[in-house]
Amino acid sequence: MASEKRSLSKRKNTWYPLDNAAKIYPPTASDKRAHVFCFSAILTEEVDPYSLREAVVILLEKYPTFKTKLMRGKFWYYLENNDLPFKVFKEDAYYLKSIDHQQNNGYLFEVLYIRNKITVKFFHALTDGTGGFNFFKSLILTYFSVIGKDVDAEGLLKPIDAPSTASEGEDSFLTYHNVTGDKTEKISKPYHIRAKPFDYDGCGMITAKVPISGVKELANAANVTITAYLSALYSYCVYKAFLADRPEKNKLVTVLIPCNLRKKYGGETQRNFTMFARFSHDYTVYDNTTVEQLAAECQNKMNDDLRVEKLDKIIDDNVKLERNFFIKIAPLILKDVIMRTAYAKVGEVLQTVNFSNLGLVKFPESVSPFVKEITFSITPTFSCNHQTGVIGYGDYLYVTFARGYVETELEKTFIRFLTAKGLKIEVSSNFWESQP
Amino acid sequence: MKKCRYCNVEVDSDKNFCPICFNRTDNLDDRSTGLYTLRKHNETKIKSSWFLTKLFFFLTICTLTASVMVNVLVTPKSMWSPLVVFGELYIWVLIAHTIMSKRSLFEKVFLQVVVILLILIFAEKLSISDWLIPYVYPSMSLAVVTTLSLILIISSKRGEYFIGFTVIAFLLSIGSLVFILFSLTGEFKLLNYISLAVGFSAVFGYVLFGFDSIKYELGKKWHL
Ligand SMILES: [Zn+2]
Repeated sequence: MASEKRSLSKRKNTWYPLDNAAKIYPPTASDKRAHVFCFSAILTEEVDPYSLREAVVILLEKYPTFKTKLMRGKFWYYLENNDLPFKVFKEDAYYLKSIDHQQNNGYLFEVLYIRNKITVKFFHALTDGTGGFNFFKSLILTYFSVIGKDVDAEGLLKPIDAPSTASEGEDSFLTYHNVTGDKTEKISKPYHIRAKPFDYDGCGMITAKVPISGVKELANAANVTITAYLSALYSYCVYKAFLADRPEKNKLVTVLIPCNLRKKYGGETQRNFTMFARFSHDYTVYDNTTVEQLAAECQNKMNDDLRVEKLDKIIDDNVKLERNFFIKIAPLILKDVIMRTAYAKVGEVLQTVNFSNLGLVKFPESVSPFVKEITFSITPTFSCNHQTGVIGYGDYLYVTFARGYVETELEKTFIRFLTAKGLKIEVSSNFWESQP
Repeated sequence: MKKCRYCNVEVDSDKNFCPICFNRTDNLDDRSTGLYTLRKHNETKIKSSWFLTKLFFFLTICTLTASVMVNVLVTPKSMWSPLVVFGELYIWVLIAHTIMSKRSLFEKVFLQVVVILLILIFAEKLSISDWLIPYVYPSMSLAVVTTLSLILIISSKRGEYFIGFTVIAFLLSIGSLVFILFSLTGEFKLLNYISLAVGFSAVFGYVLFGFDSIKYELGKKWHL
């Protein structure tokens, strides 16, 4: 009892600085730029909200960095231990809207349910896609264990009774960065999709369920990875849908491809640890380049951007910036302004679209029979108004397009390209553009 | 499950058209996973826009022009209109920094104190204490009450504002009442009478129209 009390009071004072990459998100987040991503699982049976909430409560003890709220310090934002009760909500039609921290008791993620679907929505300052998915996976496992299913982690994810470790909460950018002499690359401003926005909040979602084997064949034929192939196709579709017959001056299409650094540097942090490859192709003089050629180009760019030396350079620059004396002593109000300005210059204006592939995910064998489908989606923002999340589960790749405007030309081009190659695709939509 | 023969895809939906090309679909079977929650009715939730900001900006400019004109034409000897300018700026600070934001209490109080001090120094420099109570105070009070009422009419979060706004309107009209009762207004009492009347009507109106919200908020925030 006494030791329990001590550990509780010790817990009360816990706080974590935001990791290096997360520092940009709080000052630049707004209603128009939610910085939110989301996982959904379709289960074989109806979700019980009480058990779901219980599962989250159990899990929060194992993931202390998730049991936090965002605080404004005098110099930096930070995460502080959050002792308020966690609430789960029923999902409404506004799928990717920003998290209401007031309603949510300050937590930086949200758990939603409806019928047989569980959705977890994360604010990017808390974690990245991989960290978020690990949490999501553990939540599903814990939920099934709470409702009395005979499930086990089977070594694929954190066992239900495992405690948290220090390395899970670390800022891996600080742990793993090295100094190198690589040069910083100059990036030009690409085209931004111009289309009629919705005259109400929310975004249009379309998920395409594509057989992995088919995509793999296409990628193999072009001698590239699935990510490179689909990114190239994505870039090509932006051109076909928005640039081909229009007199745009800037026809540079840039696809931002986030990459999980845990694979490169190791570590098991639950915080942000992602860097980006940037595939740009200028379509001003379009000479009938095929998607296969684009894919090869994209693969080269990815290989180059994700060289350890190049990554080291970028991480080192970011860490140096964070440790810069003048940045350190600038009060938070000033930092907010600096960060917003910097973000407006070098943030999402340097990308046309975002393509995030989490790869093939696996659930323990005792869990997977209860999970029918998994999707991964990212909120579109004002200037990067089309974002795509991809996740592979079972025999299918779930490609989820989220858009902030009415027309579906890009999706149509993308999906029709794949069906023309003989792939059997199933499509779901939230029909945001049509009258209910 | 539906089938779009133009896109050559299967569509998981109850609707009879394709979500990507909007052509009619063929019915395969009645199976549907329901990956997404659809909008049930036409949302009235209009996108938050710059409309409010623009409106306030417009009102500010109107008030400023009006007060400078009145100052120059009616009372050219005493320059009290700069104080109205300052007062208007103060209202902006009050709304953007204190009422509508989620900043810490310390920052809110700190900025309020700084701005009020500046206004007082300004008033002192202009030596317009004769004008402060009969003209400036009631004008400010009217401007604030008008602004608050507009926010309540337009904002979708009005429920949360009723209590605070009622208190502000009440305090402002009490100010005018005190000035009138203790004859601090000098000769010119009209504006303070108007401010008093408008302030109390506003309080009455807020309580009348916002009664349910006020009751709900009191329950939620103070557990009354
Ligand atoms: Zn179609």
